[in-house]
Amino acid sequence: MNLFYIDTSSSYLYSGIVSNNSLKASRKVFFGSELSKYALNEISKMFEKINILPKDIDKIIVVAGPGSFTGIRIGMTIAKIFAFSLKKEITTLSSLEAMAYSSNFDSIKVPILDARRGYVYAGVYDENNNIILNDQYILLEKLQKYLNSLKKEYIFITNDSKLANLNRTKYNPDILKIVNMVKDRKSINPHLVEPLYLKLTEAEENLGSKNDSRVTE
Amino acid sequence: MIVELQNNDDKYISSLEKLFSNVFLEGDIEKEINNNPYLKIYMYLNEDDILGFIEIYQIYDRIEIANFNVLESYQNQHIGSKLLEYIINNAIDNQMKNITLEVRSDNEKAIYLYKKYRFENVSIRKNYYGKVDGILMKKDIIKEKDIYILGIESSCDETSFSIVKNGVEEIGTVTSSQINIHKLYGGVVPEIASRAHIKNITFVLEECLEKTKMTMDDITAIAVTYGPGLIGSLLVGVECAKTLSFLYNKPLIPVHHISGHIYANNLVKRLEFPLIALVISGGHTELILMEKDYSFKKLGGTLDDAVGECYDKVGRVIGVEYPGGPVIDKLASIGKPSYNLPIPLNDDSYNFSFSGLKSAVINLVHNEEQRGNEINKENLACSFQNVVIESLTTKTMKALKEYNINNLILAGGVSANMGIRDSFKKLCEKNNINYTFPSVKYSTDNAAMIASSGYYAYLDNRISDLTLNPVSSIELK
Repeated sequence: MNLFYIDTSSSYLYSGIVSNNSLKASRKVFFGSELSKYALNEISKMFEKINILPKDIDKIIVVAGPGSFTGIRIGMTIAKIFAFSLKKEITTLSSLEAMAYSSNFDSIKVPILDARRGYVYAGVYDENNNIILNDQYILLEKLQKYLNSLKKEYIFITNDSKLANLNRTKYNPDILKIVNMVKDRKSINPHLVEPLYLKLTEAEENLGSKNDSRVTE
Repeated sequence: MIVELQNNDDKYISSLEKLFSNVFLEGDIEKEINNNPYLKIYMYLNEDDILGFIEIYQIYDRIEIANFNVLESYQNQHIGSKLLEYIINNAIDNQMKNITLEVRSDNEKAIYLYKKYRFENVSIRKNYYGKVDGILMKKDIIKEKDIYILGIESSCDETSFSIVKNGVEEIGTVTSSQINIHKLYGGVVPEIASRAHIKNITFVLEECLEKTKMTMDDITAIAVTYGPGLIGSLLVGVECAKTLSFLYNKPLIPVHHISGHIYANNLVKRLEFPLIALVISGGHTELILMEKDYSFKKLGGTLDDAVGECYDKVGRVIGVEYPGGPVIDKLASIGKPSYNLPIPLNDDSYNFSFSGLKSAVINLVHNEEQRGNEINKENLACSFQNVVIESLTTKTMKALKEYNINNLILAGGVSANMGIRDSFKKLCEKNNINYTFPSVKYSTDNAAMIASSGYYAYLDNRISDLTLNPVSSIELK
C-alpha cells in the first residue's frame, strides 16, 4: 500500500510517500509566498527520485486546513484532482491534528495558528491524541481561560512567529506517524473533499450580520 | 507567395542556380528535375524575385528535405518558417507519415527552427560534413493529425473546462458560473470566488469529460489561463492543470486570458491576418494588432477603469442589478441621448479612459437628485452608451485606417453588448472592413477560447514546466 501525504497549509511544503510502514521519501521545504510555484514541482521530483508513478499510489492523505486560505487550496486542488482522475482513495485531516500527532509531549497539547485580531485556530488534545476541544476559530484569551480551567500542564505547538511569546514548542511534522494515525480513515468521494477554513469570509460575515439585523427589526 | 517549380520554368531555374550557387551547379536542377520524379522545389517569391526555396523528395508517404535556403539579406523575416510550415501543412493534408532531414550540427539557427516545429533528433552521423557531425532529424506527422487541447479557465467567477480539436472545433464545454452567489454582494468577492472554484473543480472536469465522451488519454495537451485575473481564482485552475500535466505526462500550456478572448473568434471563423482586436470586458479595454497567430502588439489600452467595470458602476448609480452592463444595453436601446456627457480622452493615442465618464454620470445623477428632478434611466443609459460607443469606435477605426488593416474582431464580455455590436457592424460595412464577433456564448469567460488559443500556443512551442505560477496582472506578449 502506497500512501501519498501532502500539507501546504503553511508556508512550507510537507509531503511524503509511505509504503509498508516506512517513509520512502519526504519533503519539508520552506517556500514562503512561492509555495504555489514550487509545491507540485517538488512533489514530482520526489516521485521521480524513488521511481514511483502517480498510478502506483493507493491513497492520498491531505491536510485540509486550517491555515493560509491560499496555501490550503494548493494541496487540496492537487489532492482532489489526483484522487478524482486516477480514482484513488482520499482522506483528510486538520493541520492542527498533524501538529498534535507529531508531538510526544505527555500532557495537554495545543496546536495553534494565528487568525488575526486576537483570534486563533486551535484544538486541544491529550497525551494520547484524543480530542478534548475540537479544532476551532477562537479568541486566544478565551482559549487560555479554558486551558487554565483544565488544571493540567499544557504546551502550545506552533511555528507561527506571531504567537512566539506563548509557551510553545515548534512544529516539525513526523510524517510517518501522522500517516499511520489517519491511514485507515474512511475514504471520501473526491468531489466532496473540501478545505477546512473554520471561518467564513468577511463578506459572508458582513452579509450575515446584515441579515441578522433585518430579522431582529 | 510560395510556388512550386515546374519543369519548364526556365527563368526560375536559372535564377535559382545563380542565386544559390553554393548549392547548385549550372544545369543541376534541370537534370535532377527531369530524372527524379520524387523531387519537388518550392520557391518563396516576392513578386518575381526568389527569396528562398525548399527542395524535398516526396517518396510515397514520407518527405525528405534535401535543400533549404533563404537569401542571406532576407533572413530573420520568417521566410524559412513559412516555407517549412508550407511543407508541414502539405504533409498533414496528404496524411504523410513523417518528414526527415539532415543538418550540420553547427548550424544552430536551422536546428532552432526545426526544433521549434518539433523535429526531433534521431541520430548523429559522426564527421558527416568533414569535421562536423550531421544530425538526422525527424518529425512525425500522423501522430499530430488531430490535436485535442483541454482548456481550463478560472480567472474570475466562472469555472470552465473545454476540449477543442485543432484550435477550431469545439468538442464540448462545461462552465459553472458563480454569478448568483456574487449578486448578493454586488460584485465578485475574491475569497468567495476561490472557495467556489475548488468546490466545483472536479465536478466540472468530470462533466466535461462525460459530455465530450473523452478521457485524459485522448488529450494532447492542457491549456490553462495563468493571468491576468483574481490570483486566488487563477490558482485553483493552474494547480489543477499542473496536476493533470504531472499525472498524465501531458504538455502544460499557459494561456493569457486576453489571448483567449481574442481566439474566441477563431471558434466562429478562422482568424484572418493582419487584424485588429478590440478587447472589451470587465477587466480590460485594449486595442491589439496581430500580424499572425500568437503575435500580439498592444496599440493602446485603458488608463483607468475597464469599460465593463464602468458599466457596472454606472449600473449601481442608476440602481440596476449587478452586473449592470446587459441592463444598461437594454435600457439604452429604448432611450434617447438627452443627457450631455463628455467624450473621454478624445486624443491621438489609442488609449481609453472611462473613470471621468463614470464620475460625470455620478455627478449628473447627484445634481438631478439635489434639484429634485427624477432621472430618466432609459435616456441616461442611452446617453452613456452613446459616449462609450463613440470612444470605442473612433479609436478602433482610426487604428484600422492608420495600420491599413482590413480585419476587425471584437472580444471580451462587453462585446456581447448589442449597441456596441450594431455600431461596429455599420461602420465596418461602410468602410469595407471584415468583422467577426464572438458568438454570445463565447464572449464571456469560457474554457473553449482558452483551448483554442492554447492550440496555437502549443504550435508556437509555448510550453511550461510544473513551476507555472498564476499572475494577477501581466501584459499580453
